Amino acid sequence: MPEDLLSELNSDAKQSSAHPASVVREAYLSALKHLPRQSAQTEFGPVETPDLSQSPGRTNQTDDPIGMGHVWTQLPRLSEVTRSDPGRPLRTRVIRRWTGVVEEVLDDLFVGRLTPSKKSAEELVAEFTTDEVSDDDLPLLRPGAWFYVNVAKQTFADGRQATISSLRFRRLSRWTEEELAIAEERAAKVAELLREE
Amino acid sequence: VTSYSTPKAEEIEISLLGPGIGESVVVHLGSGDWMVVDSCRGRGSATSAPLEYLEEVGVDVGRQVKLVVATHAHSDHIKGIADLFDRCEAAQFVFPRASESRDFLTLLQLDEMAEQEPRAYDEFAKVLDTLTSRSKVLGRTPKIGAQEGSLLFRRAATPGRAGAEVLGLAPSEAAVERAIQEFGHWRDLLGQNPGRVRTGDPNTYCAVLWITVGEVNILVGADLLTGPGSDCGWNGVLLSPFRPEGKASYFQVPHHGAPNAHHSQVWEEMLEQDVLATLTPYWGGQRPRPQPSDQQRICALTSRAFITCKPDLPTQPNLVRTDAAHLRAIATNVRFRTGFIGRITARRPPVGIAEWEVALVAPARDFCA
Repeated sequence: MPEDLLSELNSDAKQSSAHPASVVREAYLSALKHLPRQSAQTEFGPVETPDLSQSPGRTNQTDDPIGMGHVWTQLPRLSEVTRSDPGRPLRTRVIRRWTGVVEEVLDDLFVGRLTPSKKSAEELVAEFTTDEVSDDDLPLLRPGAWFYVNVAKQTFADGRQATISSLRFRRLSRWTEEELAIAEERAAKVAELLREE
Repeated sequence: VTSYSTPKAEEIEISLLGPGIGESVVVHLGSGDWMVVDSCRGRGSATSAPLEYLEEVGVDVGRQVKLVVATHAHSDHIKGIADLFDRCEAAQFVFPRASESRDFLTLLQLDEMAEQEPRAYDEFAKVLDTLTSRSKVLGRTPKIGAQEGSLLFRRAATPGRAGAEVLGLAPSEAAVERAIQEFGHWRDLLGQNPGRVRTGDPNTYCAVLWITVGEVNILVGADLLTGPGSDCGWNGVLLSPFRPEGKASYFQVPHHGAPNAHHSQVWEEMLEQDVLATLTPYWGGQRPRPQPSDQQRICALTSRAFITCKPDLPTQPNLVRTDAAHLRAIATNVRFRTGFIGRITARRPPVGIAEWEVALVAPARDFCA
């Protein structure tokens, strides 16, 4: 079965214009699904992983099954990542992104106005509990503070998908004396205009 | 009512527009003179709602609009006001007098320099650009700083034509001073992280207008709060030596009916009995306004109250529910910031005993039914 599968992968990979590394990874993931499973004790507890000793790559390290100049021996390195860190996603894709402004801060929550990254989308209002704000960011939480909200989709080696979200307050370089002076100077010119009668 | 029609030449018309967050008041002062107080946008629209309305009723916006008023710098009152003013070529721009102060203008510059979208005062900055270019053509800057006692518009009465006057009732002198003092905080920003520019609470130095056309008085309350203190907010209006004689038959209820803007003395001393009261809701905060208790209070004071849309949050469309689902791990109560524009239009002649004739455009509704 692996022989058939790899030949199929080989043919797919040749037709693909994707980056060789990603092709290898995709081919590897598909191949893993068809391998026998074995259990391993890891720092995350017992994890079931493919038994790579039974893969053709283990027996012939010079094979180039997908014809992309990558040898099968590279693949176990990926498997080791999977084996030792099963919680680590293979791919994370941001699917929604907003810039937020804190409108109102209450005891244990705050109300934020969310402007979507897509120009065509509408603004939203949402409530966030302060538990979602990291300790580092808490001092920044006040009306008018800017924050970023990202929602991402993660794909794991076993095909599982998860949606994750993050909330981070904006940190910029701090106002300098020079910048404040520039602002004051520009304001003085506008004030002069407004005072004209 | 869904159709639009132009009011008669001498008829007063006042329309309150509101999309759930934001409001605007459009007034026909008679004789083809119009004014706009604040601006908002409806869901899915990039155009200022009052501008859309004026065009629908066939107003020559460039010539007939005499005043564009920004009562205060809250985003729900100034969305689209720069585009509106840009089109109203013959209009004076009115804003609370504190906004002319050098410290406020410095905060505006810092807002621009922070290079962050959305900018808090982008609309104001654009208005200043328009004022600058118009001042070069006109040889004067077409703007007025509003405060108690400031005369913003005056048209003398002539045979067959009622006179019209727009007077500023707020901010009080004390509120202006207090605001300017607060704006000075920019000097403490040295070494601080740029956030959205803070200009105190703009509701406390918000402009309030008393409009008189013929024998009819209209009180536009915007977002003015009762205080702070005895000399600011509605407390300041009631104490002001500029407070006009007479009572208003139309009241735009301030601050979306919230109790912190309710002053019973205003209802007793400045408004006619069973005044026509109109208001917009506010869906933006943690607690939408007006609350049922606000409704009870207002409807106990008048039987004729109307609101531009339902005070409670409407069912959100699928698009928002999808976003809410994505955000469920960190956020609750996810909703659109704006809804569709509801409109309350009231008309009456400027003289004689007459009732306001009210027309509602959905989702506007009778508030006390």
